[in-house]
Amino acid sequence: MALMPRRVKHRKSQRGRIKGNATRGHRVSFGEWGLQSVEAGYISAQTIEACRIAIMQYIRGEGRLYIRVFPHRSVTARPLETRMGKGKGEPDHWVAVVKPGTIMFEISGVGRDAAQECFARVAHKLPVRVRLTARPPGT
Amino acid sequence: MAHDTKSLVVEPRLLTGTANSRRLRSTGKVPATLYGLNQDPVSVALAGDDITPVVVSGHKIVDIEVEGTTSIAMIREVQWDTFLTHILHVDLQRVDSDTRVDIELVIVIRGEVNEGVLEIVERSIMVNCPVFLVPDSPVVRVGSLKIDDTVTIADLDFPDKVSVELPDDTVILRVNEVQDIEIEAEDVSSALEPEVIGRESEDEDEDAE
Repeated sequence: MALMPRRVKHRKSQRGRIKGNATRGHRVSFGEWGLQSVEAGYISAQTIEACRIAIMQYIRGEGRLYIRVFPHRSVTARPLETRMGKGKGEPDHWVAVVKPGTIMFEISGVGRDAAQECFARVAHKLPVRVRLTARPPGT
Repeated sequence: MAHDTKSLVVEPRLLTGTANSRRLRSTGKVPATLYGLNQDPVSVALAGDDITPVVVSGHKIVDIEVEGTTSIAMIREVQWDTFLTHILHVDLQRVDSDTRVDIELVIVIRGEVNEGVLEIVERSIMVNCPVFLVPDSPVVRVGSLKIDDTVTIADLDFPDKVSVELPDDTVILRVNEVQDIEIEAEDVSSALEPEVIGRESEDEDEDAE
């Protein structure tokens, strides 16, 4: 089963707007290399799972993966061929809200070249532009 | 060994607060605060081109000249923007030239292991040293390490007057065997809904009525 919350306070949420840069979760904290978003967007649970598999297949036990995003928000959808109205649709899938600067994945135990190659594979699966980043100077 | 002390000429900052700091940054300067040694804290402005190379190169102790008065200061904290491109603020703490200070040193790892997986246990260590003997970040070369090898605090070289707070046998990094793992794709098709907080209790209340 893809990632999703175990308990929620509300099943459905309004869409809202993603404004500003990330002020939390924007530093490489656990590994040595991080995949940082440079755009705002929604990353679905299925995409996170696909990225996890791609990274694990590349590093093959030689490194460690840290997933820094979690799909907390539900996205609703209306069934096909139904008329408009009759209220909001039912939850269809779960997404993680990503702001510019959010670190989505971190890996450790591999060199820069390997991290770059690994994250290049992941970048193809993501709906946002990303970049490789390292720890801040002096940390 | 110890760094060459860098000198920074700063100017006092009379306008403080978020908006004024933002305006200051747009002119290429970095807001900073100088405090410590039982003196009043002073808000100052640093030239961005001066402070950034000092921070990136790992210098911890700097000479600060404010209106003709020079004092020794330690770079206590540096705030970066989201993408690590600009310094937003610097905390500078005045220190006496004859005192000892606690400083966190990042352990620099060079090279890549030829076999196994490198597990980093400690990324930085706290050291106590005289102000003018702040050592460079310790460098660990991992190219020649084999499986089950470990590097401890005792393997790092420090000058005599520098003391490390952690015990000598503290492991900094070790090389583990590569583990064979099976990558299983999770079933993403099943769409179970999460439990809604408070929903059961409402239902129970309705039943009771």
